Amino acid sequence: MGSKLFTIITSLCFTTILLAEDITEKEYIHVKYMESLVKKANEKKLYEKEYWRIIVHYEKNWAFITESQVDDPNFFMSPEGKHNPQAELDATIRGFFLAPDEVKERRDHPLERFPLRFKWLCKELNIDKTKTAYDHPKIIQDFIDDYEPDYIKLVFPSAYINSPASMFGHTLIIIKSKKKTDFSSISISWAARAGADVNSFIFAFKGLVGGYKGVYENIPYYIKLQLYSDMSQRDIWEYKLNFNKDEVENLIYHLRELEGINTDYYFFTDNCAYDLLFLFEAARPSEKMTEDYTTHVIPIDIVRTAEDHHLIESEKFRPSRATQIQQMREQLPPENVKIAQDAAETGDNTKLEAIEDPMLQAKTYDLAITMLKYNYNKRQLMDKQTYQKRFFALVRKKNKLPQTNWQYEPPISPHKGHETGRISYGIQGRNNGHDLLMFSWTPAYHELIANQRGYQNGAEIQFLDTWFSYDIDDNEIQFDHVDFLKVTSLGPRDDFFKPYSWQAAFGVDNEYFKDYDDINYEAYGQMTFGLTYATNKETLVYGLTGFDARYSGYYKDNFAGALGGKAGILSNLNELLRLSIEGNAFYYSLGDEHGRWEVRCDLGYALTEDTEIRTYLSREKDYMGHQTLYGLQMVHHF
Amino acid sequence: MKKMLTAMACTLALGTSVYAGPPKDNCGCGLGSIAFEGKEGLMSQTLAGTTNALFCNQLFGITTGTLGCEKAEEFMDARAIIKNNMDQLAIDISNGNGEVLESLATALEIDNVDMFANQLQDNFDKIYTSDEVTSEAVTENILGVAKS
Repeated sequence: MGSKLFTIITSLCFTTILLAEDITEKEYIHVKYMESLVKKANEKKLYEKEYWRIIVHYEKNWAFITESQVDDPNFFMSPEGKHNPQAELDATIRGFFLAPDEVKERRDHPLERFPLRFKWLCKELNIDKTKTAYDHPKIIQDFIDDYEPDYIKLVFPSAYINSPASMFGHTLIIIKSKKKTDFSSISISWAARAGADVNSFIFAFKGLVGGYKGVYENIPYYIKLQLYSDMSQRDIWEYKLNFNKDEVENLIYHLRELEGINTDYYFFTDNCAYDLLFLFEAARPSEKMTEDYTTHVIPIDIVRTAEDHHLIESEKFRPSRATQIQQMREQLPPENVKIAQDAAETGDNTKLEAIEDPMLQAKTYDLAITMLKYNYNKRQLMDKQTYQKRFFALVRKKNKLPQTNWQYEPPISPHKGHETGRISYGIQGRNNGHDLLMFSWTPAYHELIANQRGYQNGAEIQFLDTWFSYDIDDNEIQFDHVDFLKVTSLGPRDDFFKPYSWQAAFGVDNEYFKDYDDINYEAYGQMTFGLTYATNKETLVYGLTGFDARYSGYYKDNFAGALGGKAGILSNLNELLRLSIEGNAFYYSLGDEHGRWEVRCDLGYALTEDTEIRTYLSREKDYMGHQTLYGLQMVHHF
Repeated sequence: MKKMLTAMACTLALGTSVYAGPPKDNCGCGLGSIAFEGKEGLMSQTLAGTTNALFCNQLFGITTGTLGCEKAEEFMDARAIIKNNMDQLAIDISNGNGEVLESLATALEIDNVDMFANQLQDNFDKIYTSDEVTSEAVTENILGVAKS
């Protein structure tokens, strides 16, 4: 009896202390009214409403438990907020009645920090704003009154050839002001905080496994454009969104709520792109977008989602300096192109000055100036004094020439290319082994042989390309091979542009040591460098050389290392039909000494934007002997 | 070789901005006051290494006007546009049109952009007085032309 009473009293005290913590630690105003609102909110079950889910980013995780996608505790009013929508709602309502003295600065007050929650809850509960700590969120409202937001643009810097990884891209938004141009409006994008190990392998590795935190940053768009160190190369797509005034305000309010909130950076889930979907849903809750994604969001998929949900009003193409040069060259006679390039490279403008037609002369000057800027900014081919001297020599003369207006032809927007994931199924015949059914899956991204629409010709990135085979005779499914990562960059060289080409791949490959129906495996890594030329707009010819290393218990010394190379042709026979012919040879002089070669031809035909049929024929000499392989695959992008 | 591999790996992992160092807390003066200043007379700045100046925890300080600034400067936005787009502005002026020119006109609240463009074009040599002209001098010269 005594111990039971003791337990009751202790639990009562404990509970009182718990409840008291919430309220009596800090001072609140209009406490009775505040609690009546909490009661009303719970009666109406506001914590179950869809909009509450959106603005606190609740979703069901892999175990079907509700939790907010945000980790930073500063995003929540309640210590249980991440997992408890009800507790978070109650704490948020109470937050609006926190006495103003309780915070150092007005901008730290919950009402100021959560303007969208305030706006929504005021509407749902008909809150008397004369009783809340303030009657409106001043900080964000002052910004809106001062800035006069007009519309939102979604910006996607697209891929360029020497960085296939740039295919993953990046997304940011512009908030256009009525008082500014797009160019001088603010851009909002996500920035990682790297500390001392910027520009090192540690940095890249940590980024992959989620070692960094990041927040949103606000930078004038014209500065953001320059911050892309590869700006000379990267085309930019701007998609104007059709949010109305109220939707734009809600988006800005929600950004304010995410201000300074840290997100863990995981390369594969790419929260920075994913967060944008929550912003868009906060603006237009009728469009369910965050549900479309679970494990990963590649930035370009944000653009696709925006289009699928009818948010995109128009698109604008902003060509990179490299693209400008390429298109300018096509629009000028070849001798003028040469004159422009010579002037940019030598500073000797005699031939430029001798051009007779004023408009043609003006255009040639434009090309010379653009090439000069490219040589200075991107290639750093001269010092600043030389650059300035040449720059002004060109621009002062250009000043006296007619106005030019260049029209740049946009390529197909990247979001209209095939989807990022891929599965395939098909059959493979072999001259000295059982026929196989082949299945593959990869989450991302784009192969050399795939239809190039919306993608860069000659750029490839494949991630976790996984294959299984089913041996028809033996009735056996087996793992066939996986490329953990394969990256290829075949940038064509010409008189002006001189990129190097390269390819890197590593994974687990199949190998046969005893019998062509008895599959074994080897780990491999390969790295090659070389050159590529475009014989015409549709065809690339390339040659690469480098090393290849293989590890397997079946090798002498468990290892074989080789030098070798490959050469090939990649061509678009027409818009839908693509051809690849490649030969490679590697001689393994280290470890288990042996030679290998392969000659292979692939043909792909695009049935739809996301479906292809492919056939291939290959003759190879591998570790054991010679094989001829041929096959047919159906490919689906999703 | 190492640089290229590192660059590949970094580009692979991130298509985004990266900052070292702590963010500024008080950004109330707005971004109009920030410029990527290179050395005197530098026409075109490289921006590497200067990005930390911008890293501000606050998204919505006052971005325009002079509220909250200790040293209020006239035409802050226009100055920032000029300072940060030196090359392209010169190109735009020489061609009589362009995005930077238009943004500058908007920042100076000039309605007749064509007339402004003509004025600047006519006064090109008065604005860019030498090949080593500083960004400050260019700014003052342009503002001088704009006010007249």
